[in-house]
Amino acid sequence: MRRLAAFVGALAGLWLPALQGATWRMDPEASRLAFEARYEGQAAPGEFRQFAAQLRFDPDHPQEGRLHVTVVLASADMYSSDVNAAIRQREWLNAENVGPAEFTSTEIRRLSGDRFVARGTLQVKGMERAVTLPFAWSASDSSAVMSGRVMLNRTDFDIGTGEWAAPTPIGIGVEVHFQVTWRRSE
Amino acid sequence: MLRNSAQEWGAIAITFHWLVATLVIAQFVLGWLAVAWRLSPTKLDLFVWHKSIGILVLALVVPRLAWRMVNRTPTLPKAMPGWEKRAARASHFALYVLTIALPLSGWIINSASNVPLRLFWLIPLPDLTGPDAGLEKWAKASHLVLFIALALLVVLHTAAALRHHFWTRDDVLLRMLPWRSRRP
Repeated sequence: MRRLAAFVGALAGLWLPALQGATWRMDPEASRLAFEARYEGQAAPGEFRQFAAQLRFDPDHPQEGRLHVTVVLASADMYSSDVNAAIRQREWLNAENVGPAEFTSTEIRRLSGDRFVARGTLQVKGMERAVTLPFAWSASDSSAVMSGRVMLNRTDFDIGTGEWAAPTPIGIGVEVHFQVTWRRSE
Repeated sequence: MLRNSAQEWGAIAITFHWLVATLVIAQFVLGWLAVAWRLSPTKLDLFVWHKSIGILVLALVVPRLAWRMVNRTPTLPKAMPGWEKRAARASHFALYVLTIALPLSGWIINSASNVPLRLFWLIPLPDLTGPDAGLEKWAKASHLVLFIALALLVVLHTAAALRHHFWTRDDVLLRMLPWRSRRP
């Protein structure tokens, strides 16, 4: 009996690493990647309509997790045809000529409770910067929601070049906020 | 005298008149510059000035009309023919209507195009409508037509005032001047 218990324990030990690497599938319908810029001193909201993310994550073993996000810059929508036309231009997102923006985590760790932080590299318009992405994680049996916000400097990524690089009329800080729903994929 | 009399415009009515006149002329210039300027920070700033002053004009119409209603209006010269008096009343009425309609159509453009706006970089302006490309196009066309109407009326108004002064030689222009002077 004791041997059987040891055997089961060993099996569990073999299975555990697989569980730690639990993979998740993003539910695009229930996920949102939004941002808020400043336009002439007024909040200017927007969102990316097309983005994809891959996640391997177990909240009990966050250090083994990995997050990868790609964002189609041309899918940026600021709910105004005038503004949308402008931000696609070369000085801004150069949306038609550059590849997707990309975030790749190098480390995920727990801050406390359901709060985590993913450190990694964000690439936009070919410019790479180290970015720390704090997020909250709440999971049920079959799905989980990851949400958080991070302040980015647009000039770190050459968004708004030349005369637009000044902090007015378009602010330098852009707050990105995300809420991603994941479905467990075994 | 602050209030109007049968012969004179009071100081408040005169102040309203020249304040709105100055702002409307500034709006003509700012509007054209904002539209014509290449896309740049300056263009965005020109639009903030134009939109802010436009809403200021709209805001001034309310106390101005209220003041006009609680005051008597100086009488027109007795020598004026009836058709001229009617034309004067109609064109003044149209000027008031346009100082309301023109900013209002601009406000609709701003709302329908969903461009964020803080008046004078201070006061957020609520939207009259949600984003609406069709309405934006319609409001832009209206704004242009109303502008042309107001520009023509301002020319007519100025020409009529000059005619009163140099042709019929009455007090109609003089009594609206900020400094008081009367014909001897």
